[in-house]
Amino acid sequence: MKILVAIKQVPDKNARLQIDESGTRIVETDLSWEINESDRYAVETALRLKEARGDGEVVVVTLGPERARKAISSALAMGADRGIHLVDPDFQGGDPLCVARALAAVTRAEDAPLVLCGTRADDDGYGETPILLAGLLDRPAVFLTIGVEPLDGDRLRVVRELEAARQEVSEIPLPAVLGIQSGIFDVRFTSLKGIMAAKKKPVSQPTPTELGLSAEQIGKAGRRLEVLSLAPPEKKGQCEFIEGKPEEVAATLVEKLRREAKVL
Amino acid sequence: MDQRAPLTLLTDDQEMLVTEVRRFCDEVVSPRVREMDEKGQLDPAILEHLFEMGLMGIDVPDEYGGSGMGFTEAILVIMELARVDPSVSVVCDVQNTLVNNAIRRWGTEEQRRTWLPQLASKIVGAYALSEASSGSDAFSLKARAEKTDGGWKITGNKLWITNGKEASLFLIFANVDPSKGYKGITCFLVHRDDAGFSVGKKEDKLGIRASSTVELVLDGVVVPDDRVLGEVGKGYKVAIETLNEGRIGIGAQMVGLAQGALEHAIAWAKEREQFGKPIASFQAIQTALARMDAEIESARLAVLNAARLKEAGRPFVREAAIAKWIGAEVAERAASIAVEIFGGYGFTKDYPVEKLFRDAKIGKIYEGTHTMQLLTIAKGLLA
Amino acid sequence: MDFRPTEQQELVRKAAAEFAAQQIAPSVREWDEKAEFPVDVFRQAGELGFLGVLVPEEYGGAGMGYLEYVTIVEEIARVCPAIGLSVAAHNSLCTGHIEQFGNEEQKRRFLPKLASGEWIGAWGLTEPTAGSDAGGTRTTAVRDGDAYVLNGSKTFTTHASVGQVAVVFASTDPSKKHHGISAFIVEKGTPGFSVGKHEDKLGMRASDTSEMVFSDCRVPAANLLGEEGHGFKDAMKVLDGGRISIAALAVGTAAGALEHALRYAREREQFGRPIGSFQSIQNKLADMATEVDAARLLTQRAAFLKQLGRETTRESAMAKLYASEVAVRVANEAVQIFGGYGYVKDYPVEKYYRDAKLCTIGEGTSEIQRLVIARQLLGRL
Repeated sequence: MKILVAIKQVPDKNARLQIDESGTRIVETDLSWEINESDRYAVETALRLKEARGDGEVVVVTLGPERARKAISSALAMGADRGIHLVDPDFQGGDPLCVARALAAVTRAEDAPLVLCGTRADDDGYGETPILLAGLLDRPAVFLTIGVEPLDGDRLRVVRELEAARQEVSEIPLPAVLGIQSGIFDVRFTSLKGIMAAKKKPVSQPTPTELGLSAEQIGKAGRRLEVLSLAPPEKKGQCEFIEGKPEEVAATLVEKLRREAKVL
Repeated sequence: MDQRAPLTLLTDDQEMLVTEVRRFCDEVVSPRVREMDEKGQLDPAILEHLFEMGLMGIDVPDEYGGSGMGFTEAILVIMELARVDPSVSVVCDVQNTLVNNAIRRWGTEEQRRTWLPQLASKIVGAYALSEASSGSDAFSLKARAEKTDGGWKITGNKLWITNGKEASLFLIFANVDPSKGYKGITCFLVHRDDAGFSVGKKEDKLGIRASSTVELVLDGVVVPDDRVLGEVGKGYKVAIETLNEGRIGIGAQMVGLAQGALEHAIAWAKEREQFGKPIASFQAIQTALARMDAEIESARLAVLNAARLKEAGRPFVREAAIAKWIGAEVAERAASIAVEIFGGYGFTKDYPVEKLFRDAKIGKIYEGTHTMQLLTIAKGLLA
Repeated sequence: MDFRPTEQQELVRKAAAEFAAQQIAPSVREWDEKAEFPVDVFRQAGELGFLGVLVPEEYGGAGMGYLEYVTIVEEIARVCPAIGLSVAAHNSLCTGHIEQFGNEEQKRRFLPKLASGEWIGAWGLTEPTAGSDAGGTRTTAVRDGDAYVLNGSKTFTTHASVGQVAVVFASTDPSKKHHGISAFIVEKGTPGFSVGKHEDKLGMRASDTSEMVFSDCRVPAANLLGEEGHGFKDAMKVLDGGRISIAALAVGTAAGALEHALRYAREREQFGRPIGSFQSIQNKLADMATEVDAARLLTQRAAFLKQLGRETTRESAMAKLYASEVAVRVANEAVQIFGGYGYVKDYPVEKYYRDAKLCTIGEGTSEIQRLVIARQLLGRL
């Protein structure tokens, strides 16, 4: 079974970000980059599925500039077999729908029965691309997946995460699209052999034309969603004193942490 | 090799490697550091990961089951591991720069095929030169090897052996003919299971406590001829030349340790407030941090350059001694200043810098003391 | 200028050295490993007068001067820096503060027991947010009738856990900042006063370093030490004396490490001769000995001037700064001279290495000492 994994290269999670003069993008010079966190779990899921079945191919695809090639290399070092880099300038600068269109075209070209994505990108955080992709491909899809198992006859058993620690289990037929949640298991550490082997694995760079895409479908030319401004959250000084007996104060605090600060 | 490339500019592969080792350190090593230090024991899970990731056979060629990378990559790994735990770093360092290195260089094809795949994938190696009465005066070692039919019988005690507790393969230096002085020293491959071999006392150390440092007891250990590494009577060469590479490794360990100390100090200086502002706003702290960085950079360059010289097949004895000397100097100072910057908190075990302070001290002692490095350099200068 | 010790100083030196050799030396390693404070031995030190050196005889002290005091601290520190630290802290801080700023009633009530060692004293200035910035005290003391109510916590306090009495700094008027801090004498067992976390330290492990927590702790007004609002100023004066004792502690630590290194250099042979016959080792020892002497002289100068009743802010800070840095350097080189043996706990020097490090931090970090000295040199700019 061929599994296509869509990954995105995002700034390192510890990076200090600055907004550029246009006020719509972050400054990229001197940034370290990495594979988006939930995408790594998607790659790991694909590798485990391939290992469970004993055969198949794991292909990673990314849409991004030259620097995004490193994300592909990392995935290849993890064990993916092949890479596809949508690096053509016409692909860049689009909104999630444009990205989804490009990925859909790749899926068709590859004839991949299963596409795995992460849940949301840690940089712009839209979380839409997998959903749009499933729609464009008209395939059944499960998001916030925390477990996948292959069943006989081209079906998958998929476990999805709901609120209050509940889970939903479904059986879906291939072809399908899955959005993988992060933190669901330990992602393998890349071995040195993996790094060495990555160099020899093929990475193709199909153009929009080769994928049957026109300019208005992708990239800056095709976008309908435009970022007007990007700004860090305002630092406000606000101190609230919670009064009462310790048990009352604790309960109030927990509510505030949940409802207002949203850290619980 | 791009001759014009800056030493600290990593190739894509090296970047991937360092990123991965860093992730391993943050996720697997970091949570275990304090307990390993308190107990003085290496967590077996870490050793398993080191093998799985191929970090115990970094520059062992593919054909022998190794990761097929180069010496510089090994140095980068050792450096990165030391940032989080210098003990874990030295386990990896001894394996790669001393044991694997010696067997690749002096082993027969047979020995390489027998031992390298195991060292790369599952067994730990140790390097046993020192004894109670021979530290810097290494060649006055007292361990003896007598010729037997088809082999050798080794008797003696070794002290200060890193990895001794975890190792299965030991490079033992013993003298087959004391009348020839150091020209009788021979290197033997001894296996943990060989009759007469046992691991003795484990040292209770000031630092790098998770790295085992033990005594070895060789009570008439008989090994066959095929366990002689290199030539009989030429063991001194094995010792000296292996240690040369080893020095670069220790230099790397020290640079990593110093870098870790600096990063902790920077984070603390930004966070800790006194007199109404972060202590990072005071010049005394700023200059202290800047000095640390400048020194660490110079040590890093010395280490990387020595590694590159070795890879290029050029002489590197002087550079290796310099790399270890500067690395140890810088690490000791950086760790000491880091404790200062943390103030009272730095003196407690709840914060990571007192451990680095204790760990750093070994850099000037093992694999050739600080003074011995200088004498090596001087010898070269005055020849 | 006479650099020779007086006969009294010589006698004191011998007494302290003998006590340290017999009562402290045999258990040094054990106390360090267990991080155990040897209360009995400490009390024995009290019986010999070592815990109230500067306290006038009328209050039960030895009635001696600073030169004798630094001699005692140095001799004890030679054998165990941790015990030296405890002796210094007890004498200079808690006892010293009461002796200098207590009223007659307080002196009669507390000094005799402190001087004899029946009571061990703590001095609580440091807080989580007030380290070098001691004026950033957040512990409060609110007057209520014939008492003050204390709320807050003190960290890194020597003897907080084993002590019977503590001098505690709290703000009686936060609006006045430094000038709103007052000192109080708080006895163990006072409701609302409890001991918190015991620190697990790199070195000086036999010396108890713990937290004190005050929760609506009512302290009698009669226990206000010195005038209200004068606490910070008084603390700085107490530290001027305390720093001299830390300098002595550092000198002792360095001297002890040096002694071990000298002996080893004579005994250990490599390349067919004692390592002390090699120039590198000789150079190290020469530098170490010179620095220890210099540190001792700076310490004695500060002690001498203090003895004369002079203000010694600059001299104390210089002695503490220099001696503490020498202690770290010398202990470090001592480990180096021992080689591999210096790195294991079977040999005494690794402990000096760990202990010495406290000297550049406690009772004002080296950075603060430099600040103090610079201010003395330049005046306020």
